Amino acid sequence: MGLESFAIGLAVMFGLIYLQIPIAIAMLATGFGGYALLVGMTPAVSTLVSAIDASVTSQSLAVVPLFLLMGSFASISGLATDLYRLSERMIGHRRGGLLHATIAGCAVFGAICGSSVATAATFGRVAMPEMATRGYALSLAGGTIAAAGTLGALIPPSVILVIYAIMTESFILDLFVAAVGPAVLAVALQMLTLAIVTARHPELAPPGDRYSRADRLEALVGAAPTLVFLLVIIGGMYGGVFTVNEAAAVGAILSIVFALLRGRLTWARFLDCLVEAGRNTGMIYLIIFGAEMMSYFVTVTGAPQTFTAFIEATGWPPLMIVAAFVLMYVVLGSVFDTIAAMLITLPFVLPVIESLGYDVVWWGIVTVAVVELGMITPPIGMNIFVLNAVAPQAGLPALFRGVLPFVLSDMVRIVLIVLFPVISLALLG
Amino acid sequence: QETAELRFGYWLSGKGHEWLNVFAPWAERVEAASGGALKIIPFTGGTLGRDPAAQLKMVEDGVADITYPVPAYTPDRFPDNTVAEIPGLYASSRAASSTMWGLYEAGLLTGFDGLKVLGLFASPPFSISATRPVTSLADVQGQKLRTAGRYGIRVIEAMGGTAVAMSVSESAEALTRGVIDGVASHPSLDEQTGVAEVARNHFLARLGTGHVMLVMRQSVFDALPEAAQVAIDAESGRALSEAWGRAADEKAEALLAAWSAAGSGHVVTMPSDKDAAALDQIFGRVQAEWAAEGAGRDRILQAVRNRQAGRDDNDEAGK
Amino acid sequence: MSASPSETRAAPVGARHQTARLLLLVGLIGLIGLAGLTLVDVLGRWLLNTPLRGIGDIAEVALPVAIGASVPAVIVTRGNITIRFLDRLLGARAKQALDVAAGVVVLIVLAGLACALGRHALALMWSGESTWLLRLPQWPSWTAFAGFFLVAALFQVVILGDALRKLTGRGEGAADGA
Ligand code: NA
Ligand code: NA
Repeated sequence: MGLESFAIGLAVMFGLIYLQIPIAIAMLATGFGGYALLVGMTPAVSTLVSAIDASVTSQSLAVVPLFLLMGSFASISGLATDLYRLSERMIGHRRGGLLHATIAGCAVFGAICGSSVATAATFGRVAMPEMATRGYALSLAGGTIAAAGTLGALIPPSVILVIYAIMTESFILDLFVAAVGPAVLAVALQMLTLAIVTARHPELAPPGDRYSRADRLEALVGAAPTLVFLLVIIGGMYGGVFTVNEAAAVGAILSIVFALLRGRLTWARFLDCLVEAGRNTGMIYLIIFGAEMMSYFVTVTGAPQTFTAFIEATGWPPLMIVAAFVLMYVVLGSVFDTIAAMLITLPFVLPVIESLGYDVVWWGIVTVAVVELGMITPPIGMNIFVLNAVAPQAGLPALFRGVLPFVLSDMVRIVLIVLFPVISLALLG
Repeated sequence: QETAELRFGYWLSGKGHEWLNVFAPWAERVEAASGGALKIIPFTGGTLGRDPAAQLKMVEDGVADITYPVPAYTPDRFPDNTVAEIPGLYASSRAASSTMWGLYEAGLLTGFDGLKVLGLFASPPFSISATRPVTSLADVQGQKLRTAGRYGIRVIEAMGGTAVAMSVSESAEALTRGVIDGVASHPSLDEQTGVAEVARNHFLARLGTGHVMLVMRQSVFDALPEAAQVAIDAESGRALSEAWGRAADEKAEALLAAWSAAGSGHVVTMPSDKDAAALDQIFGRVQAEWAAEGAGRDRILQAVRNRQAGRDDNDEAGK
Repeated sequence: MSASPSETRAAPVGARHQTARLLLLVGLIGLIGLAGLTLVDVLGRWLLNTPLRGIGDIAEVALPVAIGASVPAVIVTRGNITIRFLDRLLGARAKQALDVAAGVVVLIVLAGLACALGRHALALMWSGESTWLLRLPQWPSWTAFAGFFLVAALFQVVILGDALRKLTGRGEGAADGA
């Protein structure tokens, strides 16, 4: 009986989503309606209000808008340009140098910016025009930026990791620490992929200029304020001066001050940054409200227990079950929003992962890697869409072709972090 | 025969010691005693609502039939239950829980309209657990200590510490980062939250307790078949409160014994006679402040002292 | 967002965006203020061993305002993530009908939220619930929070009106089938 309600609920939710109702609203409507039918109207209203209250007043969750603000202000203050210039002067003369420089720049920028889309958009604006003028193939250039953009979410701080930590009641900092190893692996594999692609097709990415030592030093001096800013945030967070919550607040303030000191902060730009951060904030919170309501409904149907029991009854080896989940996320990630996909499945997946004796923190790292893969795969790949908006001359099909090698290398990385949890957990001790 | 179902919304983990050792066996006993008239369906881990501050509202709105609220989150609703947070009054969790139940039974506590109270619980008295050595009251000076509640903060400050208010879930992380030096808490909580891995210096100062209760809505209780009502009444109240306290004490004693053993890496210190006297002075001031902040609190404080001193309760129970 | 062909229709759209922006600014400046307080708290604790008292209480009443303020902007700028799957399969007319139907559902949900949250704010006012330490009353920020949803619902009424005009062929919207 519970299972029937669950199946109907799920069908209704997907139906609403494909009738072009925003995902957050569809989850809210279905979750609330289902809960009200099963338990009653008064409890449904009560659950809705307390779920919203708890999310809104959660100070841990409040790091999300703060990280978004930090990312917005960091991207207008010329920070990304500095980083890109520095890495271009260091490694730009090699084959595909500007692409390697983009990956390096995204990796460092990802240590300040918590979102994959924002990182892709920022570097799309910074790096794409330059690569176009140097005769780089737009498909590969755009594909590289879209893939490197996912480093924004894979490298801490990361909005998705924060949300996962809150939903699973794990420590945010544990997830941030566990993300470091896989992030290093991601950067290494992306660069390796690029080296292979450009070795086979050198014409796609002509080498850039070689810079003198003086030029390199100049770029380093120019990027110094940015690097200091980075050190303050990262050092403060891992070094015990402040908690993650406080790091987000300090980072948001510092990024504004930083933009101001560098003369980048006009009133109009200040407003633009706020609007961008605010819209994303509203969007994420609405999705969380919806997912919370949906998960309360799913819980009262009793489906998660049935599901766990069913999985246990299959007698599959744990690795096979994990592989099935990963596959499910790849599929979901390509037709669904990243955060929503993760939130909607957690009530089912987490009990199984826990009952198999896997580490919840490790699973968070796997989940984020898989949903980020969805950001660069067709048909719905947010990062690709972003690049398509920045440089429409390449065209969507070409961009998806350009990102394909990275899709493959990301899959290799996912397999590695699934098979070797130590990559994630070594630093946790 | 029809079986009534009650949804037990529990916001903590179903793998925690309170659930495994107290509430799961309690639910089984109640079901057995009802002879099939009652079934209690557990929703552990906050699956019906994970906000500890919302647990009371959940039961009143019918989201769950039984919940485990923390009265400190609704201080205006249960003003006098804050007596559980007052330092220097309680020797053990069993004594403190039994006392809270006694106060309730004697009609000295307010705010329970419309509620069927199944148990009132108070944790073992808090001590100070810190990353830096704390073997005397003087060592508390200048330490940044996590605590909660108005009186919790007052007592830390009166002891010369710096009170830092943050959520329990943040405290272990804040400790490892050196954001705070220690916490005011009890051993099992330290172990559950991971605090004990870093804060290994324990100063058993006998502060206040952490207070929780188990409630259902009176109207839901009244609508149950009689066999179910009788079964619940038989297994709840003072019996459940004391069972909870006993389990908490056992757990705390086991942990303290392990930490006191040589080579455990922990240092457990009882306050010296001199420090104990100084602490009594400080606690006395906080007790007096509490009593001055509400009408009728003198009587409550007296009743608590009588019970803790082992004098019997029934004098006030009869009124 | 493409500019509207008609002057008369451009004005209300502009006003809508301006209002949403203004609300959003109020909320986020509040959030930045909260971040500033946190910075003072961190510095105070780190350098002087005197943390700020009650910052959690301030956050508890400030966050609903900061976060709620962003909701109208999400609605006005169509910032919600929507899967446009049927768009490719349907004709212009069916698409417009779908827009109206989806708009109605969104409106019902927003209005329902405004209503439920408004009742929550009222309940907080009657019970006089306040924060732990500083005893700040909680109802004002929840009244604001519910208010933001009400504003979002009103915006949605206007958006729905536009969608309806397109569907019924009145108004210029029917022409922009690109
Ligand atoms: Na990041
Ligand atoms: Na995708």
